[in-house]
Amino acid sequence: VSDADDFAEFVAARSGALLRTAYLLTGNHQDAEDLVQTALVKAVPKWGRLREHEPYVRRILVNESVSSWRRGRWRETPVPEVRDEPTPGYDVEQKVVLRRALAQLAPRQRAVIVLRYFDDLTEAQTADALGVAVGTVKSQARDALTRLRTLVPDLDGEPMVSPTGE
Amino acid sequence: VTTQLPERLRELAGDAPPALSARDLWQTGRRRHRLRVAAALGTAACLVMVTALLGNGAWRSHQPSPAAPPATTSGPMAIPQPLFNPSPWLSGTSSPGRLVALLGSTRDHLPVDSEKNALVGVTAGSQAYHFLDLPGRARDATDAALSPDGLHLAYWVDGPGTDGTSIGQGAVTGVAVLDLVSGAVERHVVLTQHGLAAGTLSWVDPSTVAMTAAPIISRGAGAEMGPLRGYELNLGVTNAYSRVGGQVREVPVTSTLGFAAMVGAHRLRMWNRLDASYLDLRLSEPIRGGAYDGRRHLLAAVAGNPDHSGRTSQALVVGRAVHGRVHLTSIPGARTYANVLTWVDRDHVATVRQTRNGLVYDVVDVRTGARRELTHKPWYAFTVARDALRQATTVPGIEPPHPWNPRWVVGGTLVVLILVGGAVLLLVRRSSRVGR
Repeated sequence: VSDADDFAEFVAARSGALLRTAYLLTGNHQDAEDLVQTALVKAVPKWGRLREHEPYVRRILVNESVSSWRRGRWRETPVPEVRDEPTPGYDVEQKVVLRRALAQLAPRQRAVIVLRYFDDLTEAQTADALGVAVGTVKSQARDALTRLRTLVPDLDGEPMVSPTGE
Repeated sequence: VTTQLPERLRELAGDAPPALSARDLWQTGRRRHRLRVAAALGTAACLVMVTALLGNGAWRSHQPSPAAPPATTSGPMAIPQPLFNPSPWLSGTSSPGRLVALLGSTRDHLPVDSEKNALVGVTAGSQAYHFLDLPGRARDATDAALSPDGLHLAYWVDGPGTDGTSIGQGAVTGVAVLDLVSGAVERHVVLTQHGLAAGTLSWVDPSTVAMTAAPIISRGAGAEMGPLRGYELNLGVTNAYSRVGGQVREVPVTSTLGFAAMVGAHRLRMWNRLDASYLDLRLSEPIRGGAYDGRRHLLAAVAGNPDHSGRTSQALVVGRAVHGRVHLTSIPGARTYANVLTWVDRDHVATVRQTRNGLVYDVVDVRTGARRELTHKPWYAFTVARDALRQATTVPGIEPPHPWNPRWVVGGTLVVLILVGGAVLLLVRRSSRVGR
């Protein structure tokens, strides 16, 4: 199997998951697609030398997301773009509230929340993906959760349990 | 925050686009990688090229011309014809070796400082040009005199007065003599409270400097100056000077007999340094400057008589001293000159004249007025060592290097780097627009 074929298989298999992560990071479809494409394109030169592709692509994804927000390339989309029918028991308005809350987090805080609580990465894996210390991940997560508690009041309740049990 | 967060994030992620719309990501990635490599190689090549250019320019600017002969410290000195205006970025030294010529110029220093009255020495033989670093040089009296043999340079120095306080602006405290071969400096300070107003500096012989200066008696609103007097300083006797002249006039006259100066409009006085006696010659007309040959009792000078319009004729005149009188007559065919510098032989004098483009040094036949150009240089003033004038031989001038202005080099490098960086950024950004 050539590198190109291997790459094509990876895109076919994992682009959906990457798009979901990117959507949480960017808040809209266009930026999510751009982010995933950019991450995949940037991964091409090293593709043949990588043992595990997904962690590398995800690392590019989150770092590109943080730097793009810093450059002001992406901004929160004010109009909700909910295409799917709302899940029974889950209100469209709640999605909008959560998406706006994520958009109000600092880029790195948002990346920490998405990696830890959506992609189920450990603190160490999150730190590795972002290129920061584990202590930074902890503090960013703590600050982000505090901010989310304020922005999304209906998330309150029982104390948060780490998805990986840490 | 509750345990609902992962669930809520999954629900929100369900709104993500289902699949990528772009194709050819692999080809785009390869193309972009090739572009990046090409841009990196291009940037590196540009940097190497700029560095090589700068290095080559700097190296070449500090290398003597391959045609340059070695410097000389003795023997005859040939005059470079022509002399060149030096770059303001030449290197400086206190020991350039024996000088054949001394040039005035402006010297630039980084970042923005410049020295308007800097001096450049042209080394005998090699014709290397260097700025002269003159320790203690007075800020406001920038005249300097090159010894006849080109081995020493006399210049004005300043410092505190006898009471330890600063002397006034424009004042000097004496003269320093720089050994141009070793870089050693002799200071000769005239002890005064308020300093001296500098007059002229000249060399009587290769070991004696003559200067005229007026003591400053008081400073401030009622500033008062004493009369202009003549002094001699002897090399090898540090801080020794003797007052040889009474009231003198600032007219540049050289004499083989010793310190010479005009006293009044028509009297040329030459002091005997052994007993401070003097010889007076009464001139038939005022002069602007000249050279007296004591062995043959001949004075060659530039006339200083004003014509009907009030301007001096500046004609070349010559006369023999007879019974203390010199009757000066115009040299036929001779034109306008600024000064006579020295006798070259029994029939020729070295002169300097001002033209529209700068100074020209000539050898003039005092019998016919015929002249031969020795050297010239545009713009700034210059002097040639008297021994070289007496030999009156010339060699083709070698143009000094012109180091690049470092400000332009730094600015140009920055511009190049910014342009290269901008181009690279543009390429990378263009290549990163995938499938849009």
